[in-house]
Amino acid sequence: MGINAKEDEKLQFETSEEVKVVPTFDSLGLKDDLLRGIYAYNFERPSAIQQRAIRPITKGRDVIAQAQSGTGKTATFSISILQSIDTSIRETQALVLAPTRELAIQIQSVILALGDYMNVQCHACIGGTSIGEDIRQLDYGQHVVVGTPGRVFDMIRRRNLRTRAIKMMVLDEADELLNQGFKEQIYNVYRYLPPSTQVVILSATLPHDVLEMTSKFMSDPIRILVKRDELTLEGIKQFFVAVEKEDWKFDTLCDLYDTLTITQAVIFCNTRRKVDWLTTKMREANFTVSSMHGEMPQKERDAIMQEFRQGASRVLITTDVWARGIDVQQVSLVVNYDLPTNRENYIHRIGRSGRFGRKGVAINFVTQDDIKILRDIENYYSTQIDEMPMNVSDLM
Amino acid sequence: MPQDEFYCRYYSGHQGRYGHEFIEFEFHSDGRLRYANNSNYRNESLIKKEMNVSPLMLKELKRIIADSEITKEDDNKWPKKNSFGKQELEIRYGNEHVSFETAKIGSLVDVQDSGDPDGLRVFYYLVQDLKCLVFSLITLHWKIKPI
Repeated sequence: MGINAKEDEKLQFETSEEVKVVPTFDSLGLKDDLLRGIYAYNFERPSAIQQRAIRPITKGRDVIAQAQSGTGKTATFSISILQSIDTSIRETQALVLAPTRELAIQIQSVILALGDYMNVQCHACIGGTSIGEDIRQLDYGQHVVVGTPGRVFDMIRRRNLRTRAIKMMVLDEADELLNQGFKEQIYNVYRYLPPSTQVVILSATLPHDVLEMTSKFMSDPIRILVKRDELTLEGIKQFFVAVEKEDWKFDTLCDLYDTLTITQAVIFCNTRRKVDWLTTKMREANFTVSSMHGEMPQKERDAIMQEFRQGASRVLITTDVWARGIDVQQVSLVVNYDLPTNRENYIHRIGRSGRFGRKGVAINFVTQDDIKILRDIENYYSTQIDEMPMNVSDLM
Repeated sequence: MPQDEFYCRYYSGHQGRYGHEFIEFEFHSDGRLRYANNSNYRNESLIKKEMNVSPLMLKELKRIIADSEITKEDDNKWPKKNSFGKQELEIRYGNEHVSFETAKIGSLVDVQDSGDPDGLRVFYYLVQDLKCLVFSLITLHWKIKPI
């Protein structure tokens, strides 16, 4: 079977007809100690994606699961993994790949929390940490490994991560992992897995070209999809501020500072250099801000994440390293100081607010040229992005 | 009966690197609402949705249009369509039939800087209201509540 680009373009992908809705966690047929963990985590009712995706995953099917940002995808695959593994066997049975270290750590903590009553061993295998410690943890035996592609592949090649018992691979933020930057590394890992390994991929955004690609590594997958015009969340109000010159963005941000600190805010720039520049400039103007990007040492990144999660810092200036998956529920405002360079990350960035049904506000700073890009994004997702009103803080 | 005749259509789109990207919707006097969203970005394709709305909803739509007094406007001095695309609004309502064509509007500054800011502002806000109404109807009809 070859890949036929012409034919692929004509393929239509829809949610599979056999997808059933399971309305409660009780009726999912989960292990008792897992169910205890779910309720102890204060989950009451499964979200739409959890109602649809957990059953086919636990039945062993390959699954493509799409759902709006902040609606429970991480818990969907975490619960499914915990249901599928046998904790009496001390071998790695599930492998989760994520595009950033912070996301991998967050997933690990969700799996450990939900699996609190199961004696589950779950290790975060990420770059920027001690290789020796990784090896020790893996040699000890881990039921689940969550990691970033580079380090995971390294550990597989060194044979410290034994793949023999792996029965499930999960690609979180799958469209990002299947983009040019990561694709090669994902295939490298995939080649080492047993041929029968179940594959589950998830993301809020799954463009058609990514869905086309899935036939190369998934067999007869169950698809749970959301059309692009149903992807934005009602709870996140989107606005823009039109500035004549790039320089004016800084003053606009300063004017907004009081609004930013009402709860917590994330400000996105497109480059690490710009994050550093903006951070310096804000601090010079006596505003308190934190900042984080991929060039910082992991220790520093960890400290900033911890500070922000605990609410000790309220304003975080960052790059797309923060665009996907990171869940800090107190974030109610996202500022795109620069517009994202692709349409997917627009959805992911604004989705850092409005987590699990909460309200959120997204504010885009746009120059005359940017506004056209923003209007295209607006049409693409059939959403509305209006000029920022004066009372924007009432919406959070 | 001519006073019962009603039609309202809005289009916003352009030709570009992702093909003919547009959104369009139209209401017919029998309550039929047709909607389309097209893009070839990353091999995406046309989305079409159709639904029926109640006479009460049509009445509200007519009220929004009547209150806007859009039929008194003229697109003569509005910015002309350009390489970034165009917007079209067509309304047939009783004995009146208006059809507007203008460029896509970035922000209210574009409205202010146009040759007819008062008229274009009416159009800008009416389009905002119509989109809000249509997207809400689509959400109610089609979207599964995610939480």
